[in-house]
Formats: sequence, C-alpha cells, structure tokens
Amino acid sequence: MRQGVGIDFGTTNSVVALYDSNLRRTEPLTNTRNLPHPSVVWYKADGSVKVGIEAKENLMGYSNVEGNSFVYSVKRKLGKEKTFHIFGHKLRSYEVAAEIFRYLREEAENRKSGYDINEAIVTIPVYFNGFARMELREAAERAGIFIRNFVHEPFAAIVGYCLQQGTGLHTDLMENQLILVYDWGGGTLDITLVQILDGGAVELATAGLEDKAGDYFDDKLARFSRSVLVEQLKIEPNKLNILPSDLDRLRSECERAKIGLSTKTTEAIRVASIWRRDGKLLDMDFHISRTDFNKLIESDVEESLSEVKKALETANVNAKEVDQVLLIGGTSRIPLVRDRLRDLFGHRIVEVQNANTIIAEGAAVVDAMGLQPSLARSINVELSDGTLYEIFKEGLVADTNVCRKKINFFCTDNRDGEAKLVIKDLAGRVSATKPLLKTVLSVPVSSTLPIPYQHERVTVEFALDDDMVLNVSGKGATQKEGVGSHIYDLCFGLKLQGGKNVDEH
Amino acid sequence: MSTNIDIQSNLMVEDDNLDQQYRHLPGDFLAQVYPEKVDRRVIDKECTLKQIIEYEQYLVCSICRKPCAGTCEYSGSK
Repeated sequence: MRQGVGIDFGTTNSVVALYDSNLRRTEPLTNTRNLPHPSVVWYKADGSVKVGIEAKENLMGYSNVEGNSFVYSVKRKLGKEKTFHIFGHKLRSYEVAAEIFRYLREEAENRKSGYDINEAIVTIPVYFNGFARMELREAAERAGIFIRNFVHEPFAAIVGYCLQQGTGLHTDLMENQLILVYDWGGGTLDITLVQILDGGAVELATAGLEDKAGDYFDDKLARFSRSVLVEQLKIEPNKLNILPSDLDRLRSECERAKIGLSTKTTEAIRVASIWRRDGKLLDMDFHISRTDFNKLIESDVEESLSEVKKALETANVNAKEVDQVLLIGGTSRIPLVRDRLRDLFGHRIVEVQNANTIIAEGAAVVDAMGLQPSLARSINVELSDGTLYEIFKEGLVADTNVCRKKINFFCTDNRDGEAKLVIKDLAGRVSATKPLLKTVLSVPVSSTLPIPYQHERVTVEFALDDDMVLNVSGKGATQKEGVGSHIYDLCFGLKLQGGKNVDEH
Repeated sequence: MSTNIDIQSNLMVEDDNLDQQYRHLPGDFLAQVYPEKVDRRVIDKECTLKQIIEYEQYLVCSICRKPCAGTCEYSGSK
C-alpha cells in the first residue's frame, strides 16, 4: 500500500489530502485557518500570481484597482472553451486552473517536507463531461501533477465516510445500506444514491443541477442587493451602472453574508464606494434577514428536492428505504436546505463533521489503496430483435486496457442508409433495472440493394479512456469514414474491502 | 416531454451462422432481397412468424388493391 494523495478541485474551495497507510489516517492540508483553499486567482500587472486565501481576501479591496485581475469559479468554465482576458493576454480556463493546482502542490509540499505531489486522484462532479475532464487533466499536468484516475465526488465522500481514522475502511456495519450523497457546493448539485454491497459501493442513480449552486445564490443575492440600492436611492434601475470590478466586490460580500445567514438570522451587506452620483461615491449598506434570503432561494431548493426524488425514482427506491443522507458542500449547510431534507428523510440526515475535506480525504484513500472504479452497470447494445448484447459486464474494472472491445454487426435493414446502434446500460444485481443510459449512434451505411444481396456490415469499437469516458466509434464496411460518440455519464462502483473487482472480459 | 416513439435498432451481431442471417431481416425487406424465401411454397419453412406477418402487411389486397393487411371491408376481417 502506498501513501495516497487526493485532490478536491472545487468551484469555491480546493484542498489536498494525504493518506498515511501506516497510521491509516488522512490529513487534509487546509490553510492556516483550518479551511480549504479558496479557488480564487489574483493576477497582478507585475506578472505575479496569488492564489487562495490571499487572493480572496484582497478581492474586495483590489478588484476595482487598476493592475489587478481576479478569476474565481474557474471550474465552472472548464470544458466550455472559455478564455479570460488578463492584461492583454488570453488565458484558457485550464491555464487559470493550473495556477490553483500549482498553488495546492506548493502548499502541500511546504507543509509536508519529503512529500512529492506529482501524482494524485482528482475528484470530479458526476456530470463533468469528457472535455471538462480533459481540461482538468491538462491543468493538473501543467502544475506537474499526473492524474492517476478520476473519482466521482460523491464516491470519494462515501470512502471518506467509511474511513475510521487509525483503523482503516469499515463497511461491515453499512452492508446493504442505501446511502444518498447530497453534495451541493459552489458550482453544482450532485446527488448520488449508493448501495453498499459485498463490501463495495455501487451507484444506483445520479441526478443533480448544473450551474445552480452556491455561486448562483451569490448572484441572486447580488441582484437583490442591487434592487435594494435602487429602492434606497429612489432611482430608475437602468440608471444604476455598477462597474464589473465593483460587481465582483458586491458578489464577494454577498457570499460572505450568505454564509453568515446559516448561523445568524440577519446579516449586513456593506460595500463601500459602489456607485458614483454627482461626483460623490455612495456605499451600499443594508441588512438582510434569513427569511428574505429563504424567499430568494426557495424555488431552487424545491428544484433540488425534485432531483432527489428523481434519483430515488430512477433507482426504484422509496425515501423511507434510504438509511443515511450525507450532506456535503457549503450550500447544503443552508438551514432551509437542511429543513426540507429533514422533512423528507427525518433523522437520517448526517451532517458530516469534516464536510469541507471529506472528498479529498476519500480520494487520498482511493489512491493509497489503489482502489479502481468498476462499472456499476453492464453496457449493452440493443439488437434488432429487442434482445441486449452485453459489451462490458457489470463489475468490470474501469481500466483502459480491460474496457476495450471491437464487435462486428450486420445491418438488418439498410434501406434508409443508416445503422442504428442503440447502447443501453443495465443493472443486474441491484434494485434499479431501468436503463439510465440510452445512446443512439447513427452509422452511415449504403442504402443500395445489390443483387445478390450482401449484408451491410458495421464494425463498432468500444473503448473507455483515461478520463472514464466511453468512446464508441462505428464504421460501415462500404463507407470511407465512420462516426463516433462519447458517453461520459456512466455509473461506477468501487470495491472498498474484501473480494476483487471483476477483471475478465 | 414524454413520447411513445422509440428508435429501434437494426443491427445484429455477426456470428459464424452466416446462412441464417436473413432470418433477422424484416419480412417486407426480405421479400425485396431474397424473393425466393417468401415463395408461398417455402415461406413457412424459411421465414420466422414475425417475418411472415411483416411481409403480409405489404401485400396488395386482391380485392381492395391496397396493402390493407386484411383489414379492408371486403376482405372480411372487419
């Protein structure tokens, strides 16, 4: 067993955790305030770059000062071909993300002399697509960190939850339990229903919301604050022009107030010199109550509950059957969110103590123990007679060398010039039997009917890549070029102890 | 939005049993490429029941002169 390194690269905060295999303990490498490092990058005109708490703390003071540029929530921009204009230079989002990885690596190596953070397991949201994974890998590699594997964040959380410091992983007491991971952070809501089976964790269903999380609430609160200011100043809304750098300050203040409202019933929102009128600089200063904040986010919280119900429905599981609900991520600390979840699951809500670092800690354990994800559901091709032909069986190790197959098909009806490849997943031994995945790939074939008739043959290759994306390519025998598709929303399982992953074809 | 339209696969795995592959073709298509298989004298032996039904769906009715699949008022099914 090796020493493990796990990295939770988050939208709002990021953290590295180490796992000491001898002591069987994890150590999250948080900042001096025992908090994860803010995923904020501060570029200065002199070429220097600051990341983390220093960048976040100076955002309010310097974002409207010439020669300073701040980038936050870069994770949300990965895979979207987004560029940032920093002092005349165009930076791709992975180049900004690389600064965060570089900082995390330096911080970790300074804290733990002798540790070389050049390889790690990095966690990703369930709906992080192939292109985003590719850019995340590029960012880490630019910082000298090779990503050994990606692990879904809810999975890493489960591993972290199963770890008892000093004694290792324990799943015995949770055997057969259904655990719902509700991970609502800064960028996404990830809901994953997991069943502990034979010492392993198997994904039964996933659901979630993209772009509706902590950052979205900050923006909502910023818009609300703006409307309050308009009312206070008694001006037309379109007369209030706030500069983008001042909006950054307002947003940062709203984030602080939002966090404060989780423990207090009212919070002040104060931003100095946010608007200029008649040569005078005006401040924003008002109080917001938790009740008003709840009204702002109520519909989004309800939407998140609909996603929970969707995941339960997909897995054919009743809310009463869920044994534990793990609350992870900053947004899940909002009292309204907790109250609504309590209405649904009662006392089975678990407020994880180390919620800020549990994902990175779980990833470090995965790295140290060499745990490899396996396919939670078999991958099949539907045939023309309605039966399913199994390509990869459930439980197969999600390895690029193992999950690779080439199959020859023939087209039973080529009159419309396309072979329809229908790919479905299926769970055999768990309660969910409905396919979660259905992808159709249309492969061009000849539509002519030569006499004597020759069947149109189609060769299809299935290959899982390093980024856990299933690449499917198909080519008709009479065609010059084939077509391809990428399937990134596969469900995975993880063997935590005892037994082995299925490793045969 | 829910729909009851589903995409049906038109692929079968190629195996060693090449001379039996035609049994996976839709009946109407089979009649175009292997007309000898739907000859009245051998159709029951050569084709699957599904293929026979599919083939007959497209036969022109001798009474109504349309591919009515035995549903026209003259053919007695109605």
